[in-house]
Amino acid sequence: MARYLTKRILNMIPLLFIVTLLSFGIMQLAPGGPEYVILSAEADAMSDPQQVEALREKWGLNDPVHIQYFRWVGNMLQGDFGKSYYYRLPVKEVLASALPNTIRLNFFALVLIYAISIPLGVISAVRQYSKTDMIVTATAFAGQAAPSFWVASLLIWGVAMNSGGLIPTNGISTPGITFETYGWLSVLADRAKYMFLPLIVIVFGGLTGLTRYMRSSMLEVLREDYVRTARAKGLAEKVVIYKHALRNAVLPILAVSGGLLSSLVGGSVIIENVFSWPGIGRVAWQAVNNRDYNVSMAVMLLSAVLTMIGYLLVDIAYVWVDPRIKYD
Amino acid sequence: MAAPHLNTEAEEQLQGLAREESQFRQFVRRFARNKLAVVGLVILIIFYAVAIFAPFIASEPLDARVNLAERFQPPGSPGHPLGTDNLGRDLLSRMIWGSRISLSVGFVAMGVAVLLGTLVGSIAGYYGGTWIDIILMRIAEAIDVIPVFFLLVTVVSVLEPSVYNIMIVIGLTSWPGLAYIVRGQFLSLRQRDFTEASRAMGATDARLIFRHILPNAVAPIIVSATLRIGGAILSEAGLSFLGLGAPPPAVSWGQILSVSRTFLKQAPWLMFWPGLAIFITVLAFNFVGDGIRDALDPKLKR
Amino acid sequence: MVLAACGPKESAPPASPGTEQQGGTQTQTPSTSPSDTPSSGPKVGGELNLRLNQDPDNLNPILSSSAYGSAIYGLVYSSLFDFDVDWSPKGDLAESWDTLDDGLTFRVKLREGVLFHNGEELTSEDVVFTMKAIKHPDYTGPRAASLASVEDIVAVDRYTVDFKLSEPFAPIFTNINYGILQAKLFEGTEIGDLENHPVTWEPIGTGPYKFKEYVRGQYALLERNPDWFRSEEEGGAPFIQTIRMKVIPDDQTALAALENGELDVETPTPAEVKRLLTEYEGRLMPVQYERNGWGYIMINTTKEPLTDVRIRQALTYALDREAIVQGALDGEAVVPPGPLPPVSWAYKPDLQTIGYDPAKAEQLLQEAGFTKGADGIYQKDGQPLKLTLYASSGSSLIEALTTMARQMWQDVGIDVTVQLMDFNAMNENHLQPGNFDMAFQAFNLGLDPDSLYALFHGSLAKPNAAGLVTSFNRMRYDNPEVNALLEEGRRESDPDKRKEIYGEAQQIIVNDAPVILMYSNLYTDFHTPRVKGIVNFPGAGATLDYLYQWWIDE
Repeated sequence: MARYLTKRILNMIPLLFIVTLLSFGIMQLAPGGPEYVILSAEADAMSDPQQVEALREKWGLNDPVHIQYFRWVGNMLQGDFGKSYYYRLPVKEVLASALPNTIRLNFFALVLIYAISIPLGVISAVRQYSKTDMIVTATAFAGQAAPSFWVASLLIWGVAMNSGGLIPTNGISTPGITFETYGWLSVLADRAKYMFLPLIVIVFGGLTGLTRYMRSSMLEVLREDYVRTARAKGLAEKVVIYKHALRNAVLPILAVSGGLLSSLVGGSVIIENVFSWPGIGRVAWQAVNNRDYNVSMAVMLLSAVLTMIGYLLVDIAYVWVDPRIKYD
Repeated sequence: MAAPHLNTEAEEQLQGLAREESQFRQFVRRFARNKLAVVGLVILIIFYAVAIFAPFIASEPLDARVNLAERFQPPGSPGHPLGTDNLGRDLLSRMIWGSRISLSVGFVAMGVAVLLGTLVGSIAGYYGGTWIDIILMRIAEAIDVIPVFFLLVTVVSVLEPSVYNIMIVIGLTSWPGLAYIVRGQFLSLRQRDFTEASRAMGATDARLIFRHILPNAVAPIIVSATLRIGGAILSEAGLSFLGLGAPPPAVSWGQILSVSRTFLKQAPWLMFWPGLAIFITVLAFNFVGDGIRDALDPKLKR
Repeated sequence: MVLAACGPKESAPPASPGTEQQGGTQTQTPSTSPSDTPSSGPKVGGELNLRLNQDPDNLNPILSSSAYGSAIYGLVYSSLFDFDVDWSPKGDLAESWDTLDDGLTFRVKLREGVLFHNGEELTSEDVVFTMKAIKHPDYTGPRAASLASVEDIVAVDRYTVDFKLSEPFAPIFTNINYGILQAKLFEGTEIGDLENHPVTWEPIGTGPYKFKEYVRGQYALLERNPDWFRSEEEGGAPFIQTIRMKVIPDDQTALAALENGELDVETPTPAEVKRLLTEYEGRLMPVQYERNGWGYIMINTTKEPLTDVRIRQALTYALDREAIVQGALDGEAVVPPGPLPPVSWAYKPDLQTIGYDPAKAEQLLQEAGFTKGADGIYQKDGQPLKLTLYASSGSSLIEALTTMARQMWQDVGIDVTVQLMDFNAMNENHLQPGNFDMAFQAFNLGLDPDSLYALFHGSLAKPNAAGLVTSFNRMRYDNPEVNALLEEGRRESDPDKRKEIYGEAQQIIVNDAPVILMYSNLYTDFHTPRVKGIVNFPGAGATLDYLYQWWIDE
């Protein structure tokens, strides 16, 4: 196992390399650059081709592609993600505030998704093909089936607007409510009310996969020998299910969290735009619009690294759970 | 086995067919027991029929005349069962035409993904642990670890907009999941007896992959692909929301939906119906996919 | 609410179509005459909630190129001039100004005793530093071209600055009107490194509001400057204690926030105006105005067969723009009578325009040698008249506008394909390389009619070495007569003569039809009734340039 782990982590180096190639390559597809976005604000400035050239020159966008690539990677190895052309700031500063906001929202979403889908999956499996199973299946599938911006819009107009000011339509916190002034209870309540609607959309959309996965995992475990043995020994069904089966069925479910997190972060482009949540998805979307290459590349790379860590856990879990798979 | 391989090739195929026949019947029987899956299938058949026969069903042509006198007619207006849009066009007709793109996005994107995913996954799985496997899996993972929607948005916004580009890009970004499944299948199947046996008989690698291992991997591929078609449809809707969806005069449900957001308060039905159509379609695909999984999974025999 | 200037992509007023460009130059203003006379009179205090569509690109008045930047720095910094509601310049930092006898020296006398927010006095050195920074070869911002005709800036004494011009330049008031930085803060800073200076994100100016805080992705916070140099003459202004600008990217969410009382001012999409007027009567106050700018279809005048002026005129005659305004903008717009709107002092009321006349369109096509084919499409030498119209995606307005236009062209026998795409991709792949027939965009004019220069002067139509036209004259329109008039308009200082010159230029432009002017929005800003003293600035509505006069009644 330790050997596999080392190998797997070493394997992440070429993976990272491919991710950098990919992120960089996509940006090369765009024919123009950030200079037009910055200069097009002023009609007169756009009239002066020299100015456009001067900016490209200053930013090194006129250098050969491979030189730009190696410069970018080289700088990154020293912890420098380059500069945001649009914000004229180090990329790090642009991402610094956004990343924690996205992680915070999606962490709570992830916890809730697990908290809801595990019991749903278990009920569904234990009562396979029953009416309960059907209802759970239908509800779980319903979540993923609706476009998130559709649900979000309906929630803003249906819930927030009718909440008498209790639930805000946008933002992340009420200005002025801090630990110092109001105490942690008020802060908690305040942050929760801002998170309420985005969380509903994310959790609702994320339930499907896990609930179904939990169901089949549980079904599989229930057929295993040791469960049969436990039953044969005359243990109460509840004990069999909750003590023996559940523990084993939950393991593979926990292992998919990496992939789940990745898709949640991807979905944040829409959620964060609709709810004005100041996170990485919005930064990513603005960077695309502003042709802010360095920010776009950093967002892709950073979210990739996060997910990679998640997938590493998946792989380990798989080896652990299914001894039939051997890696060397 | 004392006398191996007395069967001729033809006999082997005949037996195979018979076995498939009974397997198929078994599959149908099990699938039919899953009520949600059957309902989903019926809905999909109806929706696809509507899409195929759109020219005969829709009351207005694809590029309907703008009719300012009939803007924002509510559902139930004469001649407009679902009302009209901001340019006085019949919403039901637009949705019928829109179903063509929305329903094909899923299939085309998944076709691309299944093709790539199966190819990469089987090669990697067959050569599991070797450098071929490692390189292929690193590429798959590289695409997979970047949140798909970031990738989609970035690529689609720099490309010339077209329905096909969107379908292909969605496909190109969603194959790694399938590749893992196929590879995983290979890894556990190739150690099973029949693979060992065939190899002992001197079967070539290609023959082994396509005649023996791949057929065993078909079930999980179908299941996963069906479940992902819904995801592809939603991706198209999400891109439409950002203004990156199918460009007019082409029309898709996602596009009607995102344009309708502007008229949310003025004409709420404009957002309700296409949203519902997407919802039902994706739901149906998921029910069907789930049903196929249950029906194919031999472990679930009762 | 127009947030001072307009950004390159997203419009400052969220209502408009996705693609905005800043026309003329920066306008930082204030002036007199509150629109609604308060009963109790203005009082100090309260917090105002405004919307920022996006995060600002930066907060430096000479580097920022977004409306979201100028919304903030516009309140923190002062510039030399303000513009009155009749668009005439008046002094902000400038106490008086004059063109010296040689006609090439523009002398500005500064007010004395103007203090920066850090307590230091503003002098002529600060003005010279700011202007020279813009003209510096290493300068990376977008403003250099505006100062092209200013050769040198000289501090005559502590409160007097001379602008040395290469030729008489009438639109100077708008072209030198940028927020004045404090020179002392930048001692030892290379101009090329200006953006790395802390002041880029923590502005220190002389304006009515002090910068307090900016939290990326969330909000910017400004605080009343009680020591504002115009406070006394403006009756104790500014009045509102704090201004909070919340970043809300989504128009629908912003609308919900306005209706929910989370925003005090917002410009809804045209589709919402009538509903808000009735549903929120007395609860949300409208400020209605005509936009100083327009959505327009540019026609590539160098591409066959569009080189023929008759084809371009036919394209214009074929469009029923009144109907398009109804269908695409809910009637919340007017068809522009000419390049300069009625709100401009250089407006020409007796302009002969091209109206809706499909028969005339067909007649022009026939005169140009086209005949109608069996499919109803005009053709010449076997080539059908097929054109492509590009526009940016993601806007229901543009979708409706292009759909209607396409069908109207179809009706007269012109086959137009509409391609909606990402705004940047459209510019990069099609407009700049000249690889297009027609394209829809929007343009915001400045207060001076010289705004037309950037669009219609032939010197800007020439492709660069890479074959790109990076200016806004993407029509590649080059008419020597128009060029001469636009140059003359810059040199002439007599307003009556300028009006005549620009009138003539407008008539030629309309006749040449390099653009089809589609609409000028009739915007309605809505604000909560607790906000008083809002000034309706012609062409800009509840502009923040007059925010110092606003006050909150609670």
